[in-house]
Parts: sequence; structure tokens; C-alpha cells
Amino acid sequence: MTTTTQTAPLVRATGVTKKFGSGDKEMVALSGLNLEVREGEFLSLLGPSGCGKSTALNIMGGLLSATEGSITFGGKTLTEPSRQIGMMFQQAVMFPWRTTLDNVLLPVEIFGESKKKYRAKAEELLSMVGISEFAGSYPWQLSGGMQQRAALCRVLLHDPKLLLLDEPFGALDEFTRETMNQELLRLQAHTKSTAVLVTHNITEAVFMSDRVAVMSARPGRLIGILEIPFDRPRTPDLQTTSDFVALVAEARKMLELQ
Amino acid sequence: MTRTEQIAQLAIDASPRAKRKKFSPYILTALIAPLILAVWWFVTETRIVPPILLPTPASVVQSFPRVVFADGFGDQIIRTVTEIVGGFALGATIGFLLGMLLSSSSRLRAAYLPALSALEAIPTVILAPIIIAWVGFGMEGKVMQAALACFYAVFITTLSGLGLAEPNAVNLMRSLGASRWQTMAKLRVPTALPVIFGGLQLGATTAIIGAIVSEFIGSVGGLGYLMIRYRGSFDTAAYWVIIFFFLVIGLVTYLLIWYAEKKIVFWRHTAITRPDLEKP
Ligand SMILES: Nc1ncnc2c1ncn2[C@@H]1O[C@H](COP(=O)(O)OP(=O)(O)OP(=O)(O)O)[C@@H](O)[C@H]1O
Ligand SMILES: [Mg+2]
Repeated sequence: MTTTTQTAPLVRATGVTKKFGSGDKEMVALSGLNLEVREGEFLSLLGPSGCGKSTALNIMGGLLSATEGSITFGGKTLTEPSRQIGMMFQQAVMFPWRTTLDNVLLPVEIFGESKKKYRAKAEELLSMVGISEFAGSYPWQLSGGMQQRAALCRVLLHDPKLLLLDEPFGALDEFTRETMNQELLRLQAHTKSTAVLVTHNITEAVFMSDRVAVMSARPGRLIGILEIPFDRPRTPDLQTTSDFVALVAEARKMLELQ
Repeated sequence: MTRTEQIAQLAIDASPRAKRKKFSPYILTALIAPLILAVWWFVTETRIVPPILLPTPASVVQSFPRVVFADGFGDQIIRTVTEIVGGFALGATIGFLLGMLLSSSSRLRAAYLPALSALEAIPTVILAPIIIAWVGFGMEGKVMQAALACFYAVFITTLSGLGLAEPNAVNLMRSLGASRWQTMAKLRVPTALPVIFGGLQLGATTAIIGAIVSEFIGSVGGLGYLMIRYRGSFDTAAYWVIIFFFLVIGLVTYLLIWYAEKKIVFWRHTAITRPDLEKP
């Protein structure tokens, strides 16, 4: 474990509370979240549906502002979306009027950088996730899994330091999701980026992460953080080891005891 | 054929899509024309409707060459088409830009949307004499009239279409730090296009009506002007020949916009069926 080498965290959430609505309709979605995301780690946010995981992630991405508390990213207070942060959602969000390649190139187009410069890289990413022959196809010619692969390429194109992933493979079937998770781990290791994954699947959280942040049901609070000490790269047979099963059981207990 | 192929073929044969393909929808179109003709022929031949109101089909056909080869007919038709195209282009552009403007600000919407919608309740036809009084009998007035008649359809469809982008897509653009303008151009406008084309289709029809009504109320040229003249000489058959040309203008306009939509909003026409699964 790397807890001894204490570097400054990439993200620090301090007392982040989010309330929606006002007056009688006020609703606390997230309550006093304190969380640090370390440089290079893979962190999962695990919790029941509606506990504020997406809200927390959107605040970290600068899409939502916190009602109370603050977020720092790379030591600076975060007030708006940053190019250093890449976000992925439950849906692939591919624009049907663009080819797969053009969808992947969307970020650099918005940054006003030369698409030509990034073309080779986009193609390389597409071939890394095995859909290079679909570069010229439109999203509606691709399966759901292929679209999420393309979305993965899009988020990785400009090498963001931080990946915020909101159940990116939640809409896919179990089998495809496992493959995609493997893909994600491989690419995250390759790009040495930091990742925060939102999920409500305990096994997935334990398998993917260096640390799992367990959250309570509404109003969302942080219950505790579970360290996952397994070596990388991780292979699916890890899931049958007794250490792994024990950690999954511990995470489940944390969720149930709240 | 292998067994799997046979099953696949059976499935294709059984699908309603494949069945419908076997006869063209234009057969239905072709069936409706004789029906209308027959009713028309019946009510005129039996004089249920007097010929001064509705001429017989035969007399309209006989009048056709007389009207079409009359001196300057080509100029008149070009004049009317120019007014329609000019008015449509002007009105659609204004409608589109106004839709973009109002969609970008809820304050502007609150301030002007009710007023604009209330104005639309005034039939633009009643403005025709006023416009003529302002700018005279020339083409400018007809262009203005057509523009006025069609802008609202394009405006309101643009406004509602621009609001149709998925929250996730908007979030993606925001997470990339896209400017309002970039989100508009790269997400909102393409998302709105199918709806805007509905507005264009509707607006084209009202532009045609606007131009013709304006000519009809007072003009020195164009198909509407010809109609007034034929009506003056009680030449009902010739009058109906002109109506036939309005029909042709309407049909051509519809087909042109339909074709443009098919080409521009290509993803919408293909997204329903996967071309790679389509039978050759
Ligand atoms: N824009 C909003 N306006 C009002 N309430 C909201 C808004 N967004 C989220 N909420 C509420 O905040 C709570 C937390 O929502 P959030 O989407 O963060 O949950 P989640 O943990 O991501 O759930 P899931 O696992 O189902 O995606 C929910 O009760 C939701 O109804
Ligand atoms: Mg969520």
C-alpha cells in the first residue's frame, strides 16, 4: 500500500453539502462529504440508489456547485469544468450526426485545437478498444457496448488528469460490462490517470478500486473508506479468492449497518 | 439456403415492413386522383354545381393550352415563384435567428414570447392591404407578406427544437468547457433540425398562401394577378388552370424540402433501421 508516501491529493472535498430546492421542498442530497482523491488512484463511490453519488461526482466535475463546502482540484478551488477533468455518463452520449471518429475528436474541436494533430491518437485509441474498423461509422450503426468504447476513447483523447465515471457501463449487460471494466483498468494504467467511479455494484467496486468510499442512503454521507490492497493488473479470477470475497462482505456490512 | 438462412428469410417475409415494400404507396396516391375526378365530373356534368362556379374537368383541360401559351405566362409564374422563394428565405431566416435568440435567454422569452404568439393570432392576410398601401403593388410587398406568413412556424419550431438536447449531452458539452455558442452550433441546432424541418415544411405552405393572397388582393403581375383577370372575364376554366399551378408549386416545394431534410438530417432517416442489417 502507498499510504505511507503522502502526496497532496488531486481532489479534496471539504464539507460538501448539496441541497436541492428551497423552503418546504428543500432536499438534502449530499451531507458534509469529506473526501480526498489521491493522484493516480482508482477510487469508487459505492452507495444505494439516490444517495447522491452522481451529485457528488458532478460537483467534483464543476458541473454543479456545492451549497456548502468546497472542492479543490490540484490545490486550486474548483468553480467550473476543467479540461483536466474528463467525464463519462451512464449513456454513451454519441452525437448521431458525427461519425465515431468525429465523436471521439469532439473534445479537441471544442478546445479549438487542431483535429489533424489528434487524429492518429484517436485512431490508436479506437484500435486499442477494438473498434477501429468502425471509425467511419455512425453511432447508430454501433452496438451499445461499442458506443461506450468510443465514449471511453473520447474521454481519454486529451489525457485528462482525472476521470469522473458515472456508472459508465451501467446500461450494458453483465458480460460486456466486465470486459469494459477490464478495458478501463488497462487504459487507466496506460495513461496513468486518476479515476473516480460511481457504482452500486459492490463486486465491481472492490475489483476495480484501490479504495472504495461507501456512502449511506439519503441524505448521502460518507460511511467509511475501504482499502483494497490487491496487486495490479487484476484478472477476473481474483474475484474467487477468499481475500476478495472477505472484502466484498465487509463492504456489504458497511452498507447494511448504516 | 441453410436452415438459419431459411428462418431468417421467413422472419423477413413475415415482417410488416417487408410486406409493405411489395406495393408502392404511390398506388394509393394514384387511386385518389380518379376518385376526385369522378366526383368532380359527376357534380359538374349533372349541373349540381353550376359551371360558373366549377367548370367541368374537360373544359379545364381544354383551357390549359390557352392559359399556358398566353403571352407572358412564363414571366408571371417566375414572378410568383420568386416572391415565394424570397419571402420564404427571408421569413425562415428571421424565424430561425429569432428562435435562437429567444432560446438563449429565459428573460427574452418571458418578455417577447407571449407578444409574438399573440401577434401570430392575427391572420396575416388582413395585413395585405396595409402592406400594399405602404410599399405598393410591386414584388417587395409580396415578399414581405410571404415572409410574415411563414416566419412564425420556423420561429416556434426552432425555439422548441433547441430545447430538446438531452441533459446528458448538455452535461458532456459543459464538462468540456464548451461555450454557449459551441453548445448551440454543435449540439442544440443539430438536435433541433428534424423539428425545424417540420416548421420549414409548414412555413413553405404559408409562404405560398401569403404571396398568392397578396397578389390576389392587389398586384400588377404574378399568378394571383392572372386569376383576378380571369375572374373578371368569368373565365372559370382558366381560373382553375391557375389553381392547378398552385398545386404544382405546393408539390414541388414539399418535395424539395423533403429531399433536403433527407439529405441534411440523414441520421434520423437511417437511425430507425440499421443499414448493415438491411437486405440488399
Ligand atoms: N437537479 C435536481 N433537482 C432536484 N433534486 C435532485 C436533482 N438531482 C438530484 N436530485 C436528488 O438528489 C438525490 C441524489 O441524486 P443522485 O442522482 O446524486 O443519486 P445517485 O446516488 O447518483 O443515484 P443512482 O445510483 O440512482 O444514480 C436524489 O434523491 C435526487 O432525487
Ligand atoms: Mg446516479
